[in-house]
Amino acid sequence: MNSHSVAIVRQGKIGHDAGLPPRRRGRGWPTDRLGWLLVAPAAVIIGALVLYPTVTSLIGSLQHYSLLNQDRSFAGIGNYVRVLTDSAFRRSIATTGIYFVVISVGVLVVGIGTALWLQTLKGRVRTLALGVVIIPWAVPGTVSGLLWSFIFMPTAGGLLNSAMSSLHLVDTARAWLNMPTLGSTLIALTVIWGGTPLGVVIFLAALESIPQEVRDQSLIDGAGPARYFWSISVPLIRPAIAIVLLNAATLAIGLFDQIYVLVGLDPSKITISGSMYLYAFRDFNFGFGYAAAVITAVITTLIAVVYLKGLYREVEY
Amino acid sequence: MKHTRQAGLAVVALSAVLATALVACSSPSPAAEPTSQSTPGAIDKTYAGTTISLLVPSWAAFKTGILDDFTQRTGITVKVETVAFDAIHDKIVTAEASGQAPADVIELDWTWVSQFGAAGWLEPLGSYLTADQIQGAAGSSSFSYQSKQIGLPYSLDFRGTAYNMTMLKKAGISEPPTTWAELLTAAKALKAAGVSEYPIGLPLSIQETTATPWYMLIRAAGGEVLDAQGQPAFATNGLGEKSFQFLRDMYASGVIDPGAIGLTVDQVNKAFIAGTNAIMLAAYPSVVTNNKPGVPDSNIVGDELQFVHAPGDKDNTTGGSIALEEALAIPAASTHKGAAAMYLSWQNETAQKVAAYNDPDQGVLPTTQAALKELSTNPDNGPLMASVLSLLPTVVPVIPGGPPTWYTKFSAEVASTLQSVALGQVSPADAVVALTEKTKQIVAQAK
Repeated sequence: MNSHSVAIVRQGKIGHDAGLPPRRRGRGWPTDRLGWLLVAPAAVIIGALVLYPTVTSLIGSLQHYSLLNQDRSFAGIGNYVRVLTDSAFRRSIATTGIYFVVISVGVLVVGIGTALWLQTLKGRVRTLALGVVIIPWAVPGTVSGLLWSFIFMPTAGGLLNSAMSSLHLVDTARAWLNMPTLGSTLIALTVIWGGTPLGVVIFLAALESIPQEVRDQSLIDGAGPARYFWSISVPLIRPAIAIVLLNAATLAIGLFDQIYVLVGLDPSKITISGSMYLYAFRDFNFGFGYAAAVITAVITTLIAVVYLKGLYREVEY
Repeated sequence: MKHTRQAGLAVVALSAVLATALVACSSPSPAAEPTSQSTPGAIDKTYAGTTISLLVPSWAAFKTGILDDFTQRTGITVKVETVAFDAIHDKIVTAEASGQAPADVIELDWTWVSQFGAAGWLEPLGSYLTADQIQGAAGSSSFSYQSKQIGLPYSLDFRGTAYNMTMLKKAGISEPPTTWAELLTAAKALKAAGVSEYPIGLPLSIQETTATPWYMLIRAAGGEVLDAQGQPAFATNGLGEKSFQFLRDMYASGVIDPGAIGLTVDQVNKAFIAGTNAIMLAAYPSVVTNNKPGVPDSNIVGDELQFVHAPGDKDNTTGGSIALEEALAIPAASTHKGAAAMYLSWQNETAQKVAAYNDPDQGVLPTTQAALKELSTNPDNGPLMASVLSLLPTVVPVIPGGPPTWYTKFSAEVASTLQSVALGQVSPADAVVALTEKTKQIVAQAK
C-alpha cells in the first residue's frame, strides 16, 4: 500500500468523487407543512416518552419526594448531595464501571470477530449462521438471567460446577457469582451474550458497505489481512464502532434484570440502575431516585458525547 | 416563514391533543360501584354485575371452578392476575405512585404494611368486615397500621425446623436436636456417616428470605431482633453475636453447602424435599403440609418428616417462632371496594380455606381456626398438621408493633451481613457492631 492511499483512508474519504459537492451533514428544519405533519407523530411520542419523563425527573430530583408523606417542598440540590455521598450509590457507580469496561470490550471484540467470520461465509450457510448468532438478542434479560443461573448455580448440580468437576478443575462446587470480581465479570458475560448480536449485525453491515474496489486496491498495494483490517476496515467502520460502544455503555449502565435474577440485590453487584430501583421502590424515596436518574442520564450523555466526538466520523465512498 | 410558524403551531396543538389522548387512554375511568353498601361481612348480590380484579401470587389464586361459587352467590366477576411474589410489590408501587389502583384486591406481605400504611394506599377494612372476621384471622395484628386494619391474613406462615428423620436415624440420631450445639453435632454426624454431604439447608444469598432464619434463631433463643421502638435489640441481648457465631460455625464446619451463599429459599426447599439435605433450619409450614399423598415431589411423607420448634441457644429455650403472614388488601384508589370486600369475606369462609389448602398449586395453610380444625380432623393430613398446629401458640410477629417503614432496608443489611459472617469476612462481634451502626444510620435517614 502506498503512502498516498493510506493517507486517504485515514481521512475517511475513500473513493470520494472530487467532481461532486460533498454531502451536507444536515438538512435543517423542514419548511413546509407536510414536513411538520410528518414529524408530528414522532414529536408527540418523543415528547410523551422522553421529554415528559425527563422534565418530571428533573423537577422531582429537586423536591423532597417520599411516597411515605405528602411533603413535596423544594429540596434544592439536597437530594443530589445525599445520593452522591451515599456509599452504596458510589459503590454502584464503581461496579457499573467494571460492567462498562468488560461489556464494552466484550461486545466490541466478539462483535467484530463474529462479523468478520460471517463475512467469510457464503449463501445459505451465512444466513443460517447469522440467524443463530442473533438468537440471544431475542432473549429477554430475565430469561437470559434464568438460563445463566442454571450454568452458574452454586451447587454441584450447576452446569459450570459439573463441567469443571468432570475435568477435575475444582474439587468442590463454587459460588461463582459471589466471587468479588469474577462474579461481576460473569454477569457482564451474560450481557455480552445478549448484547453482541446487535453489534454483529451493525459491524457486518459496516464491513459489507466497504466497496470491493477498496479491498482490491489494498491488495494491489500489498496489504495483508491484518494491515487491511487495522488500516482500512477499522477506520471505515468507526461510526459502527461508536454506535456499538454506545449501545454497550447503555447496556452496562441500565443493567438490572440479569443481576436481579442471578444475585438478587447484592450490593456488591448492582449498578446505578439498581441503586435507583432501591431508592424508589425499596425506600419509597422518589426524590433520591430521580436524582440518581438524572446523574445516570448525565453520565450516559457524557459517554455518548465522548464516543460520538471521538469516534464517529462520516464515511463516504 | 409565516406558513412555517402556522404549521408549527398546528403541530404543537396536534401534539397537545394527542398527548392528552395518550394520558386519557392510560387512565380509564371504571364504572362506579353501586352507592348502596352491603352489610359488613355479608356475601350477597349488592354488587351484582361488577367485575373486580385481583393482583396476587399464584398460591392466592383460586381455580376457576371455585371462583364460580363466588360469582354465583354475588354476581361479581373476578379477573385474576397472578404475578411472581417479588414483582407484585413493584407493580403496586408503580401503580399507586401514579394514583392508580393496581387492582381491586391485592397481595399484602407483612413487610409492606408500614410503608403502604404510611403512604395511605390501603383502605381500612373495619367498615367492610366484621370484628369476628378480622380478629378471628391468625396474625391479623400484623396487618394493622395506626390502629386501622388494612389487610386480612389469608396465609398462615411462620418458621420451624424440618427434619428428615429417616436420614437422621441412619446417623444414629433418634430425636430432633433441641439446641444449636446439638444441631451442629447432629449435622456433623450426618456428614461423617455419609448420609448427607451438606446436612443443613439454609439460604445465604442476599435476599429477604436469608434474613428470616436469623430472626427465627434469635426468637427461638428468647430474644427480639428489634424492640418496639425499632432499636437494635439483637445487640443488647447478646443473641445477635451468638446467632452469627452459630451460623459461622455451621458454614465453616462444612455442614452447609458452600454454594448456599448463592441459593434462594426455594432452591433450599427443593434440596430438602429431594433428600439432599436432612435438615431445613428455617422451614415454612407448607414444606411440611404440602408433603402429602398425591402431591408431586412429595417424597418425604408421614413419620419420616418432623416439623418442630427451632432449636434455641441452650436447653429449654422456648422463645417461640416468627410470623411471616400474607394478607389480602383493598387499595384506597379502588372503585370497587364493596365488591372487593365481599371477595375477602368469601375467601375467608372455611370451604374456600380448605380448598386452598388442598389445591396442590396453592397449599396455603389457613388463617382461621375453623378451617385449621377441619383440616386437623382429616386423617389424610396426618400428624404433620397436628405438629404444625402445636407450634402456632408460640408464633409472634418478627418485630413487636410491626415492621417500621425502613424495615426492607434493614433486612437487606441483615442478609448482606449474614453472608459476610458465614464467609468469615467479618467476625460475629464486629458484624453486630457494624449492623448496629448501620441500623442507627437507617433509622436516622428515615426521620
